[in-house]
Amino acid sequence: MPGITITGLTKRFGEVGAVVGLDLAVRPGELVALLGPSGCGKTTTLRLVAGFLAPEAGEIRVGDRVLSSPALVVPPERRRMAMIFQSYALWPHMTVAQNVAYGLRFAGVGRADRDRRVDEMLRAVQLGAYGARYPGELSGGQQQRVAVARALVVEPEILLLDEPLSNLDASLREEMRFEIRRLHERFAITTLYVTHDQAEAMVISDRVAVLREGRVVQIGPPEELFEHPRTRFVAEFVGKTNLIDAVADGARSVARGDLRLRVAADGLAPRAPVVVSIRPHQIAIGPPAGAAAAPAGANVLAGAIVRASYLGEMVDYQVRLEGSDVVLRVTGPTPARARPGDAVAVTVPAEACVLLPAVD
Amino acid sequence: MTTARPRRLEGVDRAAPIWVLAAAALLMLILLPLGWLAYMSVRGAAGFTLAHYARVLGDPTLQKALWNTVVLALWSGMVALLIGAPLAWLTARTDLPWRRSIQHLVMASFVTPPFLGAFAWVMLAGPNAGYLNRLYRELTGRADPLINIFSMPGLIFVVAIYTFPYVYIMIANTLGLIASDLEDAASILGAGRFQVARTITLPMVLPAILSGFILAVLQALALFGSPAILALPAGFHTVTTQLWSFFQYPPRVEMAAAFSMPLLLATALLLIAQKQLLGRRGYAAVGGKGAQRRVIRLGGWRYPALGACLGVLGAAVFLPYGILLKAAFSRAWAQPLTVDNFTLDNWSFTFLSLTTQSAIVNTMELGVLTACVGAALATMLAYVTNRRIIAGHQVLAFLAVAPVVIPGVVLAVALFVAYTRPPFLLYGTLWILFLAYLTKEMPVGYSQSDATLRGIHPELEEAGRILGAGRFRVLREITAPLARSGIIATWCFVFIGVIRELSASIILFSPNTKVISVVIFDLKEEGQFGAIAVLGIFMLVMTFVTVVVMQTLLGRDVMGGRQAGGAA
Repeated sequence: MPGITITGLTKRFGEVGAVVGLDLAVRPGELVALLGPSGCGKTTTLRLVAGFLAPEAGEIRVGDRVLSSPALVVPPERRRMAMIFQSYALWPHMTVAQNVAYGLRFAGVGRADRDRRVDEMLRAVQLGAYGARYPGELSGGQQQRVAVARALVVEPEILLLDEPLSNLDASLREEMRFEIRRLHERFAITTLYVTHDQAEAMVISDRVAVLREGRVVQIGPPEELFEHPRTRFVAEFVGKTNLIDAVADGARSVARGDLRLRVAADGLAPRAPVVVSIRPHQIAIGPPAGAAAAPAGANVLAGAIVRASYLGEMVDYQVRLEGSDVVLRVTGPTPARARPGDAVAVTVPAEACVLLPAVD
Repeated sequence: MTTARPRRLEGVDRAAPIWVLAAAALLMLILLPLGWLAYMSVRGAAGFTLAHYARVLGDPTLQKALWNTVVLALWSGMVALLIGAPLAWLTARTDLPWRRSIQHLVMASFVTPPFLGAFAWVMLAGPNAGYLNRLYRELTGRADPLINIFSMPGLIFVVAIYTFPYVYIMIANTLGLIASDLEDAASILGAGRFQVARTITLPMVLPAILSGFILAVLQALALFGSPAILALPAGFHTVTTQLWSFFQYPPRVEMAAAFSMPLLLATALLLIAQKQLLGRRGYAAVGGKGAQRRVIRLGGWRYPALGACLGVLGAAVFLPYGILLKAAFSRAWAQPLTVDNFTLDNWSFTFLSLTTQSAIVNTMELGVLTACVGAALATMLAYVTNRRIIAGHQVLAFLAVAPVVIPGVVLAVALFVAYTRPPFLLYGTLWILFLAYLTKEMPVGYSQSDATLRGIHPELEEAGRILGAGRFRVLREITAPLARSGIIATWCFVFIGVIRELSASIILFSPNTKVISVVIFDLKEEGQFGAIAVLGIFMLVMTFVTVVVMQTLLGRDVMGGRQAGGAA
């Protein structure tokens, strides 16, 4: 089971650089998600890996085989990969079984063996009884599973997925996330997964690569990205957060006007501009008198509720801090304990204040 | 599994020669004749000259022909608009009775070769023997005819009743796309019914109205058959008939080339104007899935409106088809169809004639050959442009639809110039007709193929590639089966266009290479209306059979989607 090594990959469309000097290493058997907003180059990267596009610079290796470089592009059919497309790309003129069997014809699999493997795979995706149907006769979720079966049955070295869940409705999408993760754990194929949905990326992947303007800006396990974003962009893109522009005013504290925050760092250079990221769920909210109960070293700040949105399993508050222009978003438990206009105290542990560079 | 060791050759697209060949064929098909035409128009004994232009533009007779064409085209366009726009609105948005049937009849008028309609109207409204005129004389006892079809108004009328479907299709398609909620949004804000129509509906349909008008004008400009049948006996020329007469003995090719240019320029400008109109306002905004369209109740106007529709269709379909049928089975077409007057001789006479037999064989050979080559070439070109396979694919897309601006007569002049000299000595063979038809039908064929391939998501092919199928195998096993019915439709469109073609054929035929339309035109000189009717019906039956085959195969109303085509 080989991994994928991408170095210095570059592809332009006209003047626009879709992918610019992208480096990425996917370990054998690992599932890496390429996450980013539209236009960040994630789909272009995937299509370069598949061999549908030729790079202008850099190379793509699988194991020690060079598959793409400006001098040579191995055509898609020789890459021993499989791909699941956003549109599923099921052939409407073939039955489900014919769709799934298609790739086996080029893998040197005998007819009897082929039928057996198609059958097994269809059962693995819970479509055992649907082999004779046509794709047009299946629901969206079933079509999705046919696409998965068609890709996995050939036992590819590499599996590529291009936003495969974006055409499903919300509940089915959530179910399919676990399904894809389960299949990955069973087959352990080296996988690249393109998505713009951070929740999807976090559920499915071993590691997430966040892309921006054709480059990988950060790669790591979901927890690491969420808890230790290295840039403002990553902090904002992965999960909700409060970002506060400030300057260092001590080794372990920053200031913005009259607002002072103790942060999880030391050795800050005085007067250095920084950005502080605070996740809404790490902030505690309570009555003004409750501040005494706060752990030592936490920031206790007075404020007033601007807006309280009841969301069922939680309440999304906006709190204006006293003597400051900062409005914090805070996630509180239900039922709602404060209403707009109420004075509150918010408690922010120092370790929840993650420092980021002021410029990306 | 084979061990795929990367070699340089693997990066080469083995299908590339096919794409390049298709592109080269298209370039040659269009640029060679037009290049020769332009060259011929400025070629003098001593090199470059504008003398031909000076002569054709300075000649009062030719100026008159130009003027007649302008009058004919603008009036026909206007009449077509006056007929087509209300008809489109009535069938698309109201509770008019028999809407489906009326739509089908409009399409029948659309596929009727205009020159056949012109013949029918000669039989209906010729000043002396015309059926309607004789009826009028019998009823009123007067001596002068009611209508003289051999006149400019007569010509305008006959051209308009066969070009209004262009306006109709444009407007009906657009009206069908405007959801009622756009109009409801205006009503809820306080606009009255008339204000909604004026401020919402009309501005949204306006580009379609104007571009339908332009398409109708284009058709009228390019027509040869109707003016040849109606204007020449009336003693006046249009540009197309004038171009044709340059080829009567002695041929004056340079004059024809120079005289082609104003017509070519006019059609090109009109088409650019039409594209601008359609391009500026986003039709995408007009779309929307599951859009509700409310039916407007006509109330007491239902039956008067139906009467008006039937009147138009009577002039375009019922009366002409009726008189053709009557003439086909009569000894004397002008007499009532009694038992004595009934005969099948017209049929045996027509089909036993060696000229006719060879014309039918020629037409069929050309129809099948052009349709096969045309469908194949159009599909390949559409594939190249859709999948952006080679550099400059936009140029190919442009060139493939460019012949729309070339009137058949002008194309014939250009082909005559290009293929009467080495290395291509094709004049006098069926091949020059084949090239004319192939060029003329390319826009229709390409548009149809383009629509087909747009409907096949590239990911369907990519899914095959990544699983191990090569480019050719994917084309054969995935693309071709999915495109099959679309390719058949392309084939049918081209075939229908070819079997009715007159305006290029009339210049490019030779005694051994006559086609049905040319034979019909010749029979006019001999006054053989019975035989004309028989051949006309034969042509119509072939056309309708092809349309029905196509609609059955595709399971949808294909003619409705067609927006622009060549004139017959």
